[in-house]
Amino acid sequence: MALEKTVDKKTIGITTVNERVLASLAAEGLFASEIEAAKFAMAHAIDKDVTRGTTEGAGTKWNVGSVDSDGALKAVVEALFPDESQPYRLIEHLMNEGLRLFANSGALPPDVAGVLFATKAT
Amino acid sequence: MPDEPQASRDATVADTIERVRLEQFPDVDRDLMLEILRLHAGGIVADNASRLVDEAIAKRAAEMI
Amino acid sequence: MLRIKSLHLKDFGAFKGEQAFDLPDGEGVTVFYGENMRGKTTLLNAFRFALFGKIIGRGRRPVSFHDMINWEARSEGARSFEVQLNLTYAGADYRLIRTCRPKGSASTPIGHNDYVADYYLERGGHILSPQQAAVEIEQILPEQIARFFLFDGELLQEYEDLLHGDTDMGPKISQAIERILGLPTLTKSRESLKAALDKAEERVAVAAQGDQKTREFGNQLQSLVEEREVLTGDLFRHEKDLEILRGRKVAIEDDMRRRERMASLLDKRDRLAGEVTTLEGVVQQKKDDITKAMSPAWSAILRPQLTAAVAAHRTREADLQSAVTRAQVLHSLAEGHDASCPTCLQSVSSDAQAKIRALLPDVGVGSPDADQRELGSVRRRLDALENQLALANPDALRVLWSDLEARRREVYSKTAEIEEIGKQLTGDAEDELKGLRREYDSVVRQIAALEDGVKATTEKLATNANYRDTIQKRLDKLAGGQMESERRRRDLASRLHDLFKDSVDVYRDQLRHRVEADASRYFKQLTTEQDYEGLRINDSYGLTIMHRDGSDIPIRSAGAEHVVALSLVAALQNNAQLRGPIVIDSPFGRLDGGHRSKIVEVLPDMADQIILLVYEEELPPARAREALKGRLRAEWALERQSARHTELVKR
Repeated sequence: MALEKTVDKKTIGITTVNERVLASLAAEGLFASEIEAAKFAMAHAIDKDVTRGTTEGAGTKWNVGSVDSDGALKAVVEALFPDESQPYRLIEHLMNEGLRLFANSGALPPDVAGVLFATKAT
Repeated sequence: MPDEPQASRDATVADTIERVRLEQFPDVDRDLMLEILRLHAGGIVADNASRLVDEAIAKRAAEMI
Repeated sequence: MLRIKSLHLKDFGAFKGEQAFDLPDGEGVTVFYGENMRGKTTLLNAFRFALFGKIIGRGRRPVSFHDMINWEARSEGARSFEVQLNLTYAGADYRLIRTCRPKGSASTPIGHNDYVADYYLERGGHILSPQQAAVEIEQILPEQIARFFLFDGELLQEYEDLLHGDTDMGPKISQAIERILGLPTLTKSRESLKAALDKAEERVAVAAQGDQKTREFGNQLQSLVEEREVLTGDLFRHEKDLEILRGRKVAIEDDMRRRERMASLLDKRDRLAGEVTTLEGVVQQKKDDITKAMSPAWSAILRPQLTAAVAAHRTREADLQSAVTRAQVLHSLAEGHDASCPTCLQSVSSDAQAKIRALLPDVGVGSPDADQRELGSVRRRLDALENQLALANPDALRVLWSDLEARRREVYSKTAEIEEIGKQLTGDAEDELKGLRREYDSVVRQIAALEDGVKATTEKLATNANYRDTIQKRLDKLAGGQMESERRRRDLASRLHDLFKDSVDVYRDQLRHRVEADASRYFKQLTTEQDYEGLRINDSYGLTIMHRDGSDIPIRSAGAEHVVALSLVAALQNNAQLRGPIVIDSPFGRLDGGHRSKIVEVLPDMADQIILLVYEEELPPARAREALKGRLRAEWALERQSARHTELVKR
């Protein structure tokens, strides 16, 4: 496996369509910020085995330092997807995919508690 | 208005007060006492009753000299 | 002598349309038969309404006028009801008509206060002025003593006041009893004489002022007389105000009783509202707690994946570690730094070293450097994973969320309850009730203040009387021409006053004994208990049963109260200035068969006209006819036409 030096994203964005879902998710889930809500959406996408890829037209909402100040997010994504060369791009994609999942599951608001309760114990 | 039970009721009142008068207030004139009773028959008091009472007493007091 | 001739009803209670009954001339009993809920109590209320504009329901609660309109008629559009009472009193024919109709302002009347009741009274065919009408109704049957003539066996509470004379109503009832027993002639005379005496004293004072010898005393007396005028005026005003306030208090109590249910709803709502506010605080607190806990929520979802990743990484770490170690050993062997194998301590030949060198890659995958780097990053990821895993606590989060949900449900259900109550509270009801309560508290305070005032003024009057007395005595010692005649008048007035004062006490005592004797006589006839000797009446007309052995039996059971009350009513009727009919609803209450028979036997003797309202099981018609014989003058039935329509039918 060759180690490619690819340039990862420095910003993370949310598509226009997903903005509304994100706002709703943040309110419903009592998150301290939309960033935390976005992380939650990302985790939901991972849990649901969403296909990896790229989300186009996400724009720029946050820079990476705000989203992942301690690098924990990147570390976890790298751990779960060791062959991913652009973890933040993937993170952006997973966040948006997660929000789409919430949007598609039915009418707003997203069922945060439901997702939490559905999680397998360990 | 003439009322039979009223009359008989008052008769008993009159009897009672006359008895008390005889026993304890013989110095009080009987007619004067009856006049005052009449002025208040049935518990209904005319507007000028106090004046009439006053006059009755005054008249009797004058006679007593 | 009061006699009822007829009663006419229009859409009153269960009696739809225009209905009427008349009573026969002469003495005797008229019996009305009706099952429960047919309208027997309504007939009693018809008398109350005609005479006093009042309608009483269970528990002494006033009934709303709105509910008194016959419901069937009301659904057909009727908006009013009327009662007409034809009677004779003191030789004159009277016609009393009282009508209840919506107030002008009420377009759709829904409650008691949307109605007004007007009446007029005719005597001998002439309509009396409102003032005159009021005076004559008060004469015909004063409201305070109506209970002795409109006897409701179910409302025995009314008689409790009588039988336990220390209640608020006690004095009023005593006064009422004394009034029907003819005491007023004496008491009013006494009052007039008191006034005359006061005036005579004043004249003495003036006369004394005219004489030099007595002027000083005269002046003092005069100013005391003036002070007395002022104090008496104050007292009179206080007592008038008190009467009004007490009346207001009773009216408010009636009103509040009518709204009892509303009041308890209000209290419940306020309590719930308080609970909701507290709960909302708790909910907010829990939300804040959750917000703090949701920070690592994303990793809570990924707990399984993280765990698996940790396991995988540990394996990889282990592999890499051994690879790195092996490479280090081989390298050192290959470089010849150490010519012996660290493990087996055998020496390694240079041939062997060359072979080893050929095996090891220099750089790239599999090279010691690459492995080392990868080991480093694997370890870093492991750290991150384990950190995150430590923070991921889905169980704790679940507890917090379900707790919040539970609290929210509590808030919803209480809020829903509040809304339900809100629907039942009619618009202004709450404000009205609050206003009523405020007014009640205010009235109670005012009454207390006035009572204090009355007490204080009475004391001052007593002191004033003492001073006047002292001065009078001093004056009497000094002779004087002018004063002489005034003194004579005063002395005469004083003697007259004392005479009447004493007579009042004597007569009152006499009356009480007479009533006591009559009540005892009736009681003995009515009771089935052999050992009961009779009744004793105390100063405020409270009653106790006397046992043969001389001891008192406190009246406790409803049955005993019933019999005693009947006895008192009969005794009062016997001695009354006012002789009138007795209308009795449920004469037997909860009394047993023995008492019932007795009551039926004794009843006709209690008054000239007796109206009995019973149901057939209570008093089978055959039994009534047999027991009353010729004194049973008429029978009527309250016949059911529908659930809300009763017809009066003569049998």
